[in-house]
Amino acid sequence: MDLGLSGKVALVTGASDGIGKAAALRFAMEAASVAILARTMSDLEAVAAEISSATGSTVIPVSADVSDEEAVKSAVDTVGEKLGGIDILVNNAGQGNANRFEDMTNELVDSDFSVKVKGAIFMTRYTLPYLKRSDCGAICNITTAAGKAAPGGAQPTSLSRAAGISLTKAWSKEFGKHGIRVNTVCIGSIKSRQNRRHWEVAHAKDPSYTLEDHWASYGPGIPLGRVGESEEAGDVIAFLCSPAASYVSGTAVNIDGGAAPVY
Amino acid sequence: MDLGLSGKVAIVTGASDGIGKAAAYRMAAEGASVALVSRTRSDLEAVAAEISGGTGSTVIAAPADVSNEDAVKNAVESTAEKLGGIDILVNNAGTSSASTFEEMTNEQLDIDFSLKVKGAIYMTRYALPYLKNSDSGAICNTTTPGGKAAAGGSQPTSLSRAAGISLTKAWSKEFGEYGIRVNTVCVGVLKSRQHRIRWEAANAKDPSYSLEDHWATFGPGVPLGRIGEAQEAGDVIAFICSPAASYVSGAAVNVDGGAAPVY
Repeated sequence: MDLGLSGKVALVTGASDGIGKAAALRFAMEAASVAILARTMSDLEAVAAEISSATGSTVIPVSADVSDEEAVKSAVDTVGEKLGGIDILVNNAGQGNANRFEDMTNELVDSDFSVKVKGAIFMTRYTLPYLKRSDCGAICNITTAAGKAAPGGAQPTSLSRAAGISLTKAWSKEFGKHGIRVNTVCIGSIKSRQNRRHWEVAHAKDPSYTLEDHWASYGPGIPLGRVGESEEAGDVIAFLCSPAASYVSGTAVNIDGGAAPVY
Repeated sequence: MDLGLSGKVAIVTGASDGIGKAAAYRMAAEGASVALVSRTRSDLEAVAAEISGGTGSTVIAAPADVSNEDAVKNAVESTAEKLGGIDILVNNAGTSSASTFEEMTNEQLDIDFSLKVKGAIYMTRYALPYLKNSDSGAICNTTTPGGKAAAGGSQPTSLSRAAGISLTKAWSKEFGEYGIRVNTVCVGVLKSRQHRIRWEAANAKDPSYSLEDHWATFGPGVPLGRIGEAQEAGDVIAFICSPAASYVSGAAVNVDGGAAPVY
């Protein structure tokens, strides 16, 4: 299916690895120009070169900490200028922070909220003027199914993700008149960098524990019986942000192999 | 994006017009063989010829009243025999039936439940053995956002759609072990045959009331400010049933221009 992304400009945060990188790759494969944003320029430059050479599309690295509003403003304006506008914003930066209430510190609440919630707010605030000028503006916020149905021991991630889902619905109501669609994908267990780090810690303690053992440990509890690949999330994000999903807005799509208790 | 539908077999109910036809068309355009189910053979044969001519894919008519279990069994089995299995089931049959509680009759309730809920159960019951044999089994139930958040005056549709969303989640949990994904699209106001029939009734009374006038009446209340096209739902259904959405299961995706109060 032609997603209609050719010639569009996408800006993806948390794009140096995992889901963000996979979404950026799919956008580039569909002939969009892509700006990839994360904190570390050297990581981004390598990923930009990799995606660009694999797809032939323009991919530019932009470094910023999304919780730093001045840095976000500067990064967004740089992208708008270099790529001639912005049609699509993917707010993907942020990693899991899962604690029980009694283990959760104020510092952790603040840092988690700053990256995941305020980061998305800052990115959206400065990208919005460009999206308004697009004829196919779209935002996708990456959240988790725990934002809909919080298990115990998932704080503060679960509350920051609930906030991200709430912002998605509010923005879909407010930005619709500009033709901007806003959706979220609620990600389950994916072979992400952070889940790989969990293996590295376990593997250091027990060298016989392989990466395949680690991925297999996610299977039980997931109806499809397996951990997901980053590309399986990236492809859904690219679809939802594309003109092929032109009447989809304000929705929250689980990408979790069926694991969540709720839709 | 290659959806990976080439060579797959899809069976779509309520496929003689609107969303079902649009989904069938997109899957055929992606190289799938498609069986069209609805009550009237002559309608189906015309649509099958149209889609086949437009796409070059095999498209067959499999007439059945989905509320008749024997007829469903025959249609499903003849489809599998003719097309060599079934990979994808789209339960789309059903028209709106919207009344207030005090207006709703028992007959209306029974008819609606038979068509929308039992129809989907029958189709799934007989397609399931074939989906289990597929390496990419997928079911998509067409429902409405009213099944998540019921408006007044939308009975019995809203309760039948709530049942369809509930079945989606239960089936995603049960069928995951066979690699079968189950999702629902919650469809808002689209340019469907039933809305066109309402315009025809209004136009008969007031010939100056054009079809465009009629579609424009749906804009207020929809954040994107317009009614949707059937193809906009059909494309999402084709995507979510395809291997491109291989980790999406148990999700309920609004295709409503942002109109629903909930995700």
